[in-house]
Amino acid sequence: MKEKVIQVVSRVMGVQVAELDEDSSPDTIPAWDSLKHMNLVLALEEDLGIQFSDTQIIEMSSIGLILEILKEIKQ
Amino acid sequence: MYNAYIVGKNIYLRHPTEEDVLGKWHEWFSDDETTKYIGDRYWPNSKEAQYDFYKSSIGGRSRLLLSIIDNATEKHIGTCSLSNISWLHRYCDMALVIGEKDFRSGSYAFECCSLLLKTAFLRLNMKTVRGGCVCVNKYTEKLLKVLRFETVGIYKEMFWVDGKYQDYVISMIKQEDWLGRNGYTPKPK
Repeated sequence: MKEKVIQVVSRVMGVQVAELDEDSSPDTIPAWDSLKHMNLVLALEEDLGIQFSDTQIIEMSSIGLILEILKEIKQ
Repeated sequence: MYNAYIVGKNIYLRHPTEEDVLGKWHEWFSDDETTKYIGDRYWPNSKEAQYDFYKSSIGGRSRLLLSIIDNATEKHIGTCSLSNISWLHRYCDMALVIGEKDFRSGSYAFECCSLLLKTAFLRLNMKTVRGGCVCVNKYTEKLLKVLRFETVGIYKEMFWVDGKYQDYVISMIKQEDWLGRNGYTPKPK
């Protein structure tokens, strides 16, 4: 799951996979602005076949937090 | 936190105050960048006009006007509303402006919409919330898509933006869809 999420973030943000890890966030990736964040949510929902709640979207402010939310959804 | 109406992770919404009027509120609606995608904000605003608008927000039941406050700093960062409320048909229009430019990054606008929808659907029992945006306003277009607003129509060449008439996209979200997606009822089929 981690690899898949990093691939999606890489594609949406236009950043190399090698530059991304669980700590990657809008604070570490300049391209991660509010518009790209919306694109990221839509891309994750489409690629992973899931739907986030509003609360989860507000919480997903780093790759690590996205992974935690995905873990919650899968449970 | 003063007189909070609904509280989120990063912001809360409350009734506007006279102190809000004395701040930068009126300046947001004179600023070209801030008002670029707002339909009728082509005239300079003033503190006096803002005060009149503020006074008009007291007592009525067809528009719920709220100030957006940053939880961490208690700063008044914007304004939002549910307007044209129909208590018969149970629909309303959602709108917001993040006036303070430092707060336009991050998820403040999304969180504000989320709090407005929660208010509309859970507290006011609205059946439908209407939204929309000028087609060149890409952020709002995506924001509405993420919130699961459904596009229901287009006003062709309706708004004059950057020297061109642009389409206006009309959208809406139903209470049952919002409740399902946010875990309040079983997800719709």
